[in-house]
Amino acid sequence: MLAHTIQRMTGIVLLVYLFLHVRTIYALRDGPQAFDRAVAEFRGPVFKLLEIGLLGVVILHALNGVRITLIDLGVGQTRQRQLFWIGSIGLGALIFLAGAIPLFRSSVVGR
Amino acid sequence: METPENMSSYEFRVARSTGMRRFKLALGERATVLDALFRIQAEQDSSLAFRCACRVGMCGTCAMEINRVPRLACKTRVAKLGGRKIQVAPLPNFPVIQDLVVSLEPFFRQWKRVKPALRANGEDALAIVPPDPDLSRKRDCITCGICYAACGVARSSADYLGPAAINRAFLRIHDPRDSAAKERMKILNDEWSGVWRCHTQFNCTSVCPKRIDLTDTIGRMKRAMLTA
Repeated sequence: MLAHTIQRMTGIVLLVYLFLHVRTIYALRDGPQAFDRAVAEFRGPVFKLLEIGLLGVVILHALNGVRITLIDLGVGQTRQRQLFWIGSIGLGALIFLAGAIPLFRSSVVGR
Repeated sequence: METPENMSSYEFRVARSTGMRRFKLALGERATVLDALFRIQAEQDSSLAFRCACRVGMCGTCAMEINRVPRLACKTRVAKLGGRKIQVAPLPNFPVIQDLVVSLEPFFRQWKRVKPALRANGEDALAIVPPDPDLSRKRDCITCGICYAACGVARSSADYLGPAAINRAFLRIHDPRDSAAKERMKILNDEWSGVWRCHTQFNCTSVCPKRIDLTDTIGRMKRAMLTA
């Protein structure tokens, strides 16, 4: 149930992000300057931190999605808990740290 | 005979039709939730309604929600619940008749939809089928409704067949004597009420008192649909 809840919550966060992303890209319609202005809204440290959070959300959603796909294919059915804790959470944390640390250094600390 | 030394005191919060009621009880190490309910009924509240029959986990009649998890009251030891406050409520996803007694009508409505009885032609019904170890545990279903109560999909969609009914259809489809496999597959393949509604939450598998891997059954049916 925890995995299911996480999948739904991260899905909603990604949906909100998708709308925000489309809204930003849509500014291209009004030319490069308008696009630059739209992107500039996200250059603050708060948005950089949210970007790191987004990385975590994407990783968690993707790895849990892979877990569900494997189970649907009949792989790891009896080890679904281990798949969640080791595959989605454990491996996800490692990938997240590998991406979040450089991102944090370059965009928040190194500003 | 238990002595007061090996008894522990508990506070039971029992969902009555009229609201939540608290009962204080001293129970031994081996006491089950069903024992506690009988004690409450005998000593504190004779009007408390609950159901039970076999008392050994064979009939599924005493299914109820204990500490927010659907379980069999007769197989749940109070001491093993890990706490002094025990919450007992009727099974979710079912209409309450009184106190802890629910109507299993939604469960059996779905059960009937998969045509649970064997449909064999002539002499096929008398054939002796060799036991299949892969399916033997799946035959242990006692139709207690616990999987249906724990299912998040059944909670949001009354049309969903539910894990037990799908498991029953699965067993019939894999029975070499049965002649209604196509009919059952069609019911299971329904987009709004069949196997495709399962969100692979594993709730049914984790609460099944007979330890039937119901998510595996549903997954196998999904794959069978794709290759049929």
